Amino acid sequence: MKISIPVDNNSMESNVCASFGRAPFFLVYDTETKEAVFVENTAASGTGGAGIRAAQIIADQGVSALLTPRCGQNAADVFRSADIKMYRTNTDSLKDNIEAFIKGELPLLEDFHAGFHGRNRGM
Amino acid sequence: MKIAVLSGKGGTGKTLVSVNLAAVAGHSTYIDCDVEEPNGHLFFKPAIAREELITVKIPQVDEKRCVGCRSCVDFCNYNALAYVNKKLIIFDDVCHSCGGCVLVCPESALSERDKAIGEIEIGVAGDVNVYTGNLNTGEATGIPIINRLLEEGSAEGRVPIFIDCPPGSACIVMESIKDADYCVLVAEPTLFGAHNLNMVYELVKLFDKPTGVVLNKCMNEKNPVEEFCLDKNLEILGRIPFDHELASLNSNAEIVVNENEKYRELFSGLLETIVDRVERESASHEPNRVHEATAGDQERHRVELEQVCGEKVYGKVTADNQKGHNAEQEKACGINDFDEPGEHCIEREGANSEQHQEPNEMEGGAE
Repeated sequence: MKISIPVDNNSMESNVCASFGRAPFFLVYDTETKEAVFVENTAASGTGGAGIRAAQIIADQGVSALLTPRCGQNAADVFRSADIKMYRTNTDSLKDNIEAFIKGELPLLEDFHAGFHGRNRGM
Repeated sequence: MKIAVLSGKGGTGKTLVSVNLAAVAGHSTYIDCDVEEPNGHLFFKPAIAREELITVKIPQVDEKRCVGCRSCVDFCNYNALAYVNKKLIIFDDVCHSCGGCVLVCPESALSERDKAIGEIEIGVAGDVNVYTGNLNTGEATGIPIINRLLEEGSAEGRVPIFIDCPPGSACIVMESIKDADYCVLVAEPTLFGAHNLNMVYELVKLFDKPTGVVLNKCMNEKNPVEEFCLDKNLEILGRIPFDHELASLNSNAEIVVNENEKYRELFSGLLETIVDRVERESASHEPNRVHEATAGDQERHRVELEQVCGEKVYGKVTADNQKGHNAEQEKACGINDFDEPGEHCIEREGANSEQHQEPNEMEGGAE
C-alpha cells in the first residue's frame, strides 16, 4: 500500500512538516516494498489554493492514505473524492509515524481547518 | 466631483466624515464602498428604492464532455480546480472568475454560471442618494460590487459624490479611489494613526491624487499625525475634536450636522475647503497634490472659525506666521501641538469621551 506524508526535507531522517499544503516535499512510501520517493511540492510557493494543488499532486501518485498533522477543508474534499484516507500523525518523526501507521496506531483525521487565507470564513 | 474618504485602518472616522460631508452638502451622493461592513446606511436610514444582486462568473462542468485532459487544472493560477477519480472538482470560493478554464477547455466541457457574491442597495435620504454595497460573508473580493456601486452612483449625476472607502490600502481601496478627484485621509492622533496614515498616503501618491488630511479625535496633546503632515507637506483640512457630545450622537447613529449647529459649521467649513481644493486642482491640471494655503485663505478661515466657535480660535493667523513656529503657536494657542493655520477647529471638550462608536468599531472589524 502506498502512503504519503508531508515532510520538511527529502530524507527519511526528516520530520513531518507542520503544514500540509505548504510542505516542501511529500514522501510517497510503499509499505510492502519499502520504496521511498520524495516528490517536490510545486504548490508550496503558489499564492492561493496550495492545499488543492498539493492534494492533486498526491492523488496523482496513486496513494491510498495520507499521514499528516493537519489538513484544510479544500484539500480534504480532494482526498475524499480520490478515496484517499487521512490519518493524523502523532509525533514529529517521519519513521515513527510510518511504523505507527503500519501497526494501525494512527487515528483517522476527521477535523479540517477552514483555511488560513480567508477561504470559507463563517462556513 | 468625486471625493473619496480613506484611512489606513478601520474606526478612524471615515464614515463620520463622509456621511456628514454628504449631509451638509445637501444635494449629494453617498457611496458606501466598505462592502464588508457598510455602516453609512445606519446614519442615513435611506428608503430603499432598488436592490440589485451582484454576481460573478464561476465555471461549471459538463461531465459527459470532460475527457480528463486537465488543461483547465493546469491553467488555473489559483488552483481552483482539481481532477481526481475521473471527476473535475471546482472550488467556487477559490475561483477568481478569470474565465480562463472555459477558454482553454478543448472539449467545450466548461461553461460559466452566475454566482451571487452580494448586492447593492440604492436608497434616498432627503436630498442624499445613498448607495450601499454588501459582500456576502466568506467571499474573496468585493471589487465587482464596488465597481457596480461607482457605476450606478456616478450615473445619477447628483454631485458632489462622497465615496466612503474600505479601511486599509488593498485592492478594494484602489478600486474605490481610482476615479476620485480628491482624497480625504482621516487619521487618529496616535503613532499607530500616523503609521496607518502613511500607508494610505503612499497609496494616493501612487495614484497621483490631490490629498488632504482630517485629524479626528483631536485631544489637547501632541499629535504624531500632525507631525507627519508637516513632514510630508500634507495639508490638514480640518480637525474633529475628541468630544463627548459628538461621540454620543454618532454612536446613536445620528448625523451630527443635523443635530448641532456647531458640527454643521465644522463640516460645512471642511466641505468648503475640499471643494475649493478640487476646483483649484481642476483649474491648474497639475499633478502636484499639495496646496499651500495663501495668506488670504488663512485670514478667511480664521474669520470663519471665530464665527463657528463663537469664542476660541487656536492659532493667531497672520501672513507673518503662517509658516508657523511651534513654540510661538503653542503660546498663542495654549496647547502643545502645532496648530496649522487654515483649518477649522472647534472648542476641544473633555478628553475622556469615547468617540469610538459602535458603527466604526464594526468598520474596524472588517479589516
